[in-house]
Amino acid sequence: MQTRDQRYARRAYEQMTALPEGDRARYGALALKLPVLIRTAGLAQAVAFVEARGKREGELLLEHLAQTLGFSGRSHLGATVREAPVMVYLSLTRRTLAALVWYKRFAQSLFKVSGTEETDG
Amino acid sequence: MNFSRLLLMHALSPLHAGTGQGVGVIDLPIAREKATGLPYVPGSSVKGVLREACMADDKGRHHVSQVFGPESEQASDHAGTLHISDQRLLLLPVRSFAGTFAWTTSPYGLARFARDLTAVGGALPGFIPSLPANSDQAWTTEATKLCAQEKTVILEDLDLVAQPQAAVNAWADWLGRALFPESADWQAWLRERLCVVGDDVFNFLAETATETTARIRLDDETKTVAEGALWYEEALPAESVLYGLAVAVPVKKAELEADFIFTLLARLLEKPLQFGGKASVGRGLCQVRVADGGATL
Repeated sequence: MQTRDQRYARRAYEQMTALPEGDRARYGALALKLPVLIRTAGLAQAVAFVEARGKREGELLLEHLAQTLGFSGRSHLGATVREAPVMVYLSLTRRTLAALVWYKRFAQSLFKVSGTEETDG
Repeated sequence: MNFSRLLLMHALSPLHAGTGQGVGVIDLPIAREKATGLPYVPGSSVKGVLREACMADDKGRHHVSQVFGPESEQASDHAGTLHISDQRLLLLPVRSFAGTFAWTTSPYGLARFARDLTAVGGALPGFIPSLPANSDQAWTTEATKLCAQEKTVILEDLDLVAQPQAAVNAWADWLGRALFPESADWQAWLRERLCVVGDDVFNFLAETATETTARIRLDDETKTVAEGALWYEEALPAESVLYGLAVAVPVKKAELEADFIFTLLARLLEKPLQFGGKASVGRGLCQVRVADGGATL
């Protein structure tokens, strides 16, 4: 048996080390921003914001996150976020933030992203 | 004989009682209780601020070591007479669709407050609301301004079912008088905004509805953000309310009457004081009050 943190860390590490070089900077920058966006705007708003931008790094990160959290894919995650009853929404927000800690950490350690790089907004 | 009083701490600006560093999403998180995850302000932090205030007080400066204990070099001489507990979260202000913000608390939050209030000999204003931990209800006063539509309270992005309850009125009246003794307007504000939510919802809000601020350092030459100089800080929002105990414990070498200690304490607390970190960017201005209901412990 592994702790939830170990499972999240292992999945995030596998996904991120498999990312092509060209995707890493933007993906990493978003991985640093997304958890704070969830805390300030809420999970539904944050996920919808990333989906609405339609950028490759956003699609990749949501897909990875969905798999780590046990969803079949990002559309399944998106639908659950939109439709879940309040108590499920609370627990999903907590799990998402817990998983994103690892994406943020690996963006800093593997991709050397600091958060101050120029991005598309 | 030991004497105790209840302290109520009202944050007038965001309050950052930090832990130095964090490994989570936030770089500089606030201190949280290990078991409950709820924010608190360490008693040592409060005591330090009061000691400073005492040193600046005309009468108080002659009694600093009796009240707060000697300087660290002579720390083994005797203990201080005044003991200050950690200040624990009672009311968390949360963005509300109606009424601007709600002062939220929970059955557990009120129950532990009631325990401390009873310990200092205070009478409970009302019974503890029996809201289940995983409830999606929000118990409000009957004068509430939090209902967005009929029977809905919207806090952040959570839709909760509004339930006006007489029990909440009693708590709102008591807390209003204790926090804002001179202002009927503020007492009314509290009555219109007090809201009891289930413990699970409260813990979630205490985790996610605290203030998160992005801070940067500019490069002097370019006036753009220095590389890597972006960090996120957490703070309890302005309007948060915490509480704790102040206990006067007789010490032979520093004999002072409890009445003297609490009169001095009340004088030190007449004006708002600054608590926690980030003072130079306006954090931590708090009005602390000594609530009625003092008694022997």
